[in-house]
Amino acid sequence: MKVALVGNPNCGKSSLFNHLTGLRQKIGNFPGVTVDKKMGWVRSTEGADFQVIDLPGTYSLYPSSLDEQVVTQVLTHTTNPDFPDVIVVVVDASNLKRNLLLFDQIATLQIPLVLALNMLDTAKDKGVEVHAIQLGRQLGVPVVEINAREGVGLSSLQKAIHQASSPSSDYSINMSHAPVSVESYRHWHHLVAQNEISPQDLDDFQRQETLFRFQRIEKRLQGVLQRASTKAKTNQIWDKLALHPIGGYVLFLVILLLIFQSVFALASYPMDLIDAGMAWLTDTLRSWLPEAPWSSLLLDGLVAGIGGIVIFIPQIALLFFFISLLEESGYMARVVVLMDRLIRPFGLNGKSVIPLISGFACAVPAIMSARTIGSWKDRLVTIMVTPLMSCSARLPIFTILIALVVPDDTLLGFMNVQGLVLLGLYLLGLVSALIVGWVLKKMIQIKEKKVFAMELPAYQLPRWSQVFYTILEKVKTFVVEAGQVILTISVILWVLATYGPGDQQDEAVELQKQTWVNLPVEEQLALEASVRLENSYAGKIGKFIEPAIRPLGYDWKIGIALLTSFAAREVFVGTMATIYAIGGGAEAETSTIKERLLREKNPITGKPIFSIATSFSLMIFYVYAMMCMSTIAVVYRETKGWKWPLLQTGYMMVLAYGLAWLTYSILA
Amino acid sequence: MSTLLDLSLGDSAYIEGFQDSVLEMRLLELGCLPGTTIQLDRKTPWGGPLILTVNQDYQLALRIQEAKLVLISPVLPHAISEIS
Repeated sequence: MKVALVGNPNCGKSSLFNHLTGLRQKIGNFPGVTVDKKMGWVRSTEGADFQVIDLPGTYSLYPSSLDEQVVTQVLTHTTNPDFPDVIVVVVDASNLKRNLLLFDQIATLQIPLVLALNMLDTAKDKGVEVHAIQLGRQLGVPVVEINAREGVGLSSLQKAIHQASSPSSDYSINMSHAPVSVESYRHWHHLVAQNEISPQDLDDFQRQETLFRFQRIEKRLQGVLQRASTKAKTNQIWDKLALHPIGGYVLFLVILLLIFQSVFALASYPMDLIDAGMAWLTDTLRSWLPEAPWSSLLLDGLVAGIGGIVIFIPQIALLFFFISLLEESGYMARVVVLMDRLIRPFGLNGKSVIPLISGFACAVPAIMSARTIGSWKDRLVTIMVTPLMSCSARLPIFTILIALVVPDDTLLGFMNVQGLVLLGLYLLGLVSALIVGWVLKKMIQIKEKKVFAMELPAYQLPRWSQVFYTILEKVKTFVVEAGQVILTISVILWVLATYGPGDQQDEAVELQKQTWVNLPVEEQLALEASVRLENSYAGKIGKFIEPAIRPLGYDWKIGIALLTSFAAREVFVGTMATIYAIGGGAEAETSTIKERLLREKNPITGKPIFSIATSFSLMIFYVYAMMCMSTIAVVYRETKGWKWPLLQTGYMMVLAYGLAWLTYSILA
Repeated sequence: MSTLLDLSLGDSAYIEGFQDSVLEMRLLELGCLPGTTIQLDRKTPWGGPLILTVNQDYQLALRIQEAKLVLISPVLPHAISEIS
């Protein structure tokens, strides 16, 4: 048996879904659309087990967003694979009249129906009393009182689901003044889909229908609702602070700094653990496995690839922990309102703030969090600019390059010059994101007439279980979806970096071996690895692209590092360490990467490779370049196609190349 | 004709009609029917959205451009009082 949960946004539908299904949930896609489908299984205490689909929140069956379209599609087509046997309409009792519009529309469909009356406590706080039995009699459907936050009333709900039948009251819309005779709601939607009705007629009909339904609801609610004197509104008190012209922004900034700080500080512990764990796993496996190409593929390709996925989990989990806290408490809706006007000139929306901020940690969960933006154009612009926010993977690259060329001096007694340069790089990313957003706003031709009108939910204490389910859902999605691509690319890169054309790798190693015979074994192995990399396909490509990157001040060795770090930026530093082991000879053993890089000379001019010009050119390159497979994968997933990730990678690469070239030309 | 922009802080009025059909459809779904009371709770800084309370039931944020398309009346609109 299939049961669909339907209801307005903020009615507690998702809480109910989590309580009903627990961990037996799965996220899929509705065929042909970009909306996630949340499904789960209920071990019923009151009869046979059943399947639950959590349909997106909507205010009516007239869709105004992609999410809402799904609800109409599923419920009005009996042939749809997700067409439910029973619908549970979840309604917010504190806002009953408005919530019943969707119920009334769904009841017209004559599908077996149960009404779950939620948030009675909130209603009581507002001084509203709802008589559930009378409501059920008036509406002609079973009404079950639940508390979705606490998980109360679930067994009665299950019993009602098993006994559900079509509503016994009249839900037809026989409107004499309707533009065409409409036998049923389903038929009406069919006509609209076939373009047999003009938009003007549709508007007229929708207006009349909505008013007609609200009149019916009003009539049926007589004697059901009792409104005592309105009590003081707690919302007002909190809003005074949250939306204060100055205090509101200060509060938001403080909260952001706290989140920022926690994500960086707290995530580093589990990330170090994962790093160490993966290293241990690789070492252990290496000692067990025979020396063979397939074991290298397993270790350096697959295990390394999985490590690259798992390392992101702590940041993703922590970020979504804070974001879902803000959402659950109702504060997020206020931030949206607070920021909306300020960032609209840049093609963004109040709801873009969270993805942008999250982007400082990692673009992957940041882009996932852009889903809350209703307008597709605004969401697209947000997705397109988020990777310009300097993520944590760029930090090691910036750090080492700054250490190379920027003096560790102090300005005006307290400002560290290196720190200022780092801050400058972060600001450069942020400002660029706004500028690109402004350009995209002008360029993207999506004509959508979206209404901002947004409900502000009441403030409430967050529920830990709901926060937990949110984190679980996000992490799962990331691991499954982005993980597949990261893994594939890691394996491809492994092949390119391991194998070379013909016997060139072996020959090069033989040729150079004599020069290292006196070195310790480990040193010899490291040198052999770097010679092999130089003569691998990746190395060949590095040399091949050298003419293209020469104007930026890079040699073919940096080229290899650019190539390998295309999968993930953090690989850059590691590759540089390997590749620059070549020229070092005996000194290389005792020197750090920094010293090795400083020693590197241009064979023709004899000048150092890592000059101020080259180093800054590299920093600028990494501010803009889309060197992150996970981001490309997640953009592909979120936009359901290659168009936008390719455009994004393209514009970022053009900016990276152009501005790095400019930097090099000016400084050199 | 006065619109939601003419409301002073804390004051309420009745919704009379809409000057844009896309906005109208959305607001009707949200229970903002002609004849519904609507109160201005707060204006957000620098011309940001208005915070309103609809029918004493819930809070709604509307951008300024949207708010000026909602017509209001200090008394229950005549046509509406006849229907109900």
